[in-house]
Amino acid sequence: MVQIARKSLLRDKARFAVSSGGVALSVLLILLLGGMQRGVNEQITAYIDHAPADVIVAQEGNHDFLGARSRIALEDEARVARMSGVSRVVPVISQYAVVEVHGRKEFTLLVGFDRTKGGGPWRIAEGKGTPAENEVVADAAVGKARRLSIGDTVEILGKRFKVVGFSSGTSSWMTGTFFMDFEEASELVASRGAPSFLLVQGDRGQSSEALARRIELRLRDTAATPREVVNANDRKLYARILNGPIGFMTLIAFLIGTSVVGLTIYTATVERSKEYGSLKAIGIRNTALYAIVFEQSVFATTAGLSIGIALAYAAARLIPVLAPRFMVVIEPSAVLRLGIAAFAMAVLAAIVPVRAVASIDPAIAFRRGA
Amino acid sequence: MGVALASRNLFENRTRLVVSVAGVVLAALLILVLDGVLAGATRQVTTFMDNVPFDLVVSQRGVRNLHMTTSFFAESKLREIARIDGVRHADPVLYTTTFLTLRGQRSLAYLIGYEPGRPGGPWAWAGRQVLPTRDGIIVDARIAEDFGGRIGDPVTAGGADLRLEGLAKGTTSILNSIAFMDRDAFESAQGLQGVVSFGLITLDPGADADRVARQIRREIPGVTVLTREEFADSERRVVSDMSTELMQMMNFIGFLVGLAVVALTVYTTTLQKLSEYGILKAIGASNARLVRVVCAQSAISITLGLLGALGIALLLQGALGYFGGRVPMVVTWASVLKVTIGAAAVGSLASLLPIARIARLKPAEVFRR
Repeated sequence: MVQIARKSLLRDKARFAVSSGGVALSVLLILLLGGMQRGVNEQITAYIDHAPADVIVAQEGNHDFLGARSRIALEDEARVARMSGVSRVVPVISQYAVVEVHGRKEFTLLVGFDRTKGGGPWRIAEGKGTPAENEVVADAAVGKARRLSIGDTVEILGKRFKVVGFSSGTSSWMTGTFFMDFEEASELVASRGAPSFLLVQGDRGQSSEALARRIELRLRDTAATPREVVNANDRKLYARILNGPIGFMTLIAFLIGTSVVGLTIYTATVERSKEYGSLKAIGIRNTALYAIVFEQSVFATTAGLSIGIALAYAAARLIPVLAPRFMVVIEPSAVLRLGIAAFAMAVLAAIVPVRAVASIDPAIAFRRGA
Repeated sequence: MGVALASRNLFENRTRLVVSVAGVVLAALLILVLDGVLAGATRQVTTFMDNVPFDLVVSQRGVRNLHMTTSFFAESKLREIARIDGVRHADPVLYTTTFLTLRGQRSLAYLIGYEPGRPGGPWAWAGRQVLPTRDGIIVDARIAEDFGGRIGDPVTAGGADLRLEGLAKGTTSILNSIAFMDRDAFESAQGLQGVVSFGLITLDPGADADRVARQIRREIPGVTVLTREEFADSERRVVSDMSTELMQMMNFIGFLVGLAVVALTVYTTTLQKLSEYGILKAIGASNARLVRVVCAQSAISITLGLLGALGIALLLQGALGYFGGRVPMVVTWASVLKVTIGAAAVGSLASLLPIARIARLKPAEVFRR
């Protein structure tokens, strides 16, 4: 049965290519658009995701990282560092700032970090990642868009800085992140050495909720929040409105994509209804007929799905190279969901037209043909 | 002749007709909807410029938009501008980008400080129209609804502790919403005095906007003067650079895949009819006639598909608007033109590729093959 199905399917290579192509295009569309939406959400939390932090300590009332204007007491760093169960404390200054790059204003997230403690860029595309006095590590995506090179100068809050490196993976759909020395940032934002946040790492096995509660009990006027909660709050803050339209675009792509899968398989099945009629005429049982049709639709869908997934992964790697602001994240669970939807649609689309052939008498099948 | 034959051939098998048209409908619908969402989002970005009444806007020199900028210039300059011939009134507006906090939740907002009763305030209301008092703020109704906020709730914005006094409509975009407060309260909260961010200039009826703009540039140093359209264009460009780029990229992918689906659909339809075209060739039809028939057939299925997609897209646009308009979608003529040209181009190519095989054969050979 399997042999009949495959032979019949592969006999006309052009038609097989068309059916698989239709499925592949739909899969590509759905995975890429879904991956871009996922990428937006991941980019928003990129800094905290890569920071050495189980708990983020901020000024009282602040439970997010990106939306908070936070300043905490100078001595809080030492207080937290002395607590049991705390393995590392990293003070950082974080503030939005307009950076003037080659005469154009660029809205950026400015992060001041101490090179001996951490909290700086996690991936360097070019140059160095540890800026000294009057130096800055620029976001690679902003750098590429604004044709910035190592050695160029940019103006941040009225002071000129030399670009000494480019960090990658530090841009979101809205801003890029620029890194500078902690003392330099403190002077720039007039914080007198006080950090905006403390990134706190607990000992292994320590629950971040419990650690956050203990820190809040120890410090005054601060909020200590587990990393996952901070990330969720930042996502809500930045992607809440954007997720409406792009979520809708992704949904439309999914609905139309799966419909195209169905239509493609339906067309391919209708095209072979003459062959199914002949099989019926020579006395094949309906169960065998359905098995052949099922086999063919699964085979064409598998081929299309494989090509589509391969193309989507290739595009997901290519897009950030061509347009560094974008990140495409294709998750295995998304591929699995899509696979299930595509197979369900394909089987349904194949069974519907063949029911007409199955319901007719073998003798009449001769007369009807297609 | 070619069209009549093509349409007879196409309409002869209803199932095939529906399948070929449905493929085009799906592909064109994908392009129209993605285009529509992008157009809707882009349109929202300039909602302040599109709805607040003014003819010219004056800002700090070099500032040409609202998004992520700061603009301050001396209020005395605005008073000088108000005395220029042709200027009916010049209204001050203070502006900053801030996070507003309502019921413990934050949202990014443009905060506008305006003189209650003067231009610069909300243009549409959800509920009662109000003027903000010294400790009041007007926020977008959608933000209030999302956060479960009610009139009278405390709101923190721009460094001030305020009270929710009114709900504006239509100020949200893909980036943020707009909140409005009293200009004096804005000044106190931000520690400002004697400065304005923007001057909204309304001209006398019949006054020449270009002449007034030229005079302001000549006589008032340190400011930039823009027409409403220039201000909106600049805002659109800046936001497009930063944010709608993502949607443009998604849209572009949708466009390419949509066109490819059109091509596949038309190619399949032509393949299905290949034997019939072979017979035409065998009975002596010229290649030119064959091409005419094939092109007419793909033109018919593409036209039907486009019309179907346009109808569904317009229905969807209406439905989205009716059910609250959280997803902005506007089907534009530019998008319809784009999808028509694209579909016609790839459709012609996809239908002519298989037919080229037959066109190369001599009539007698067709029978043999």
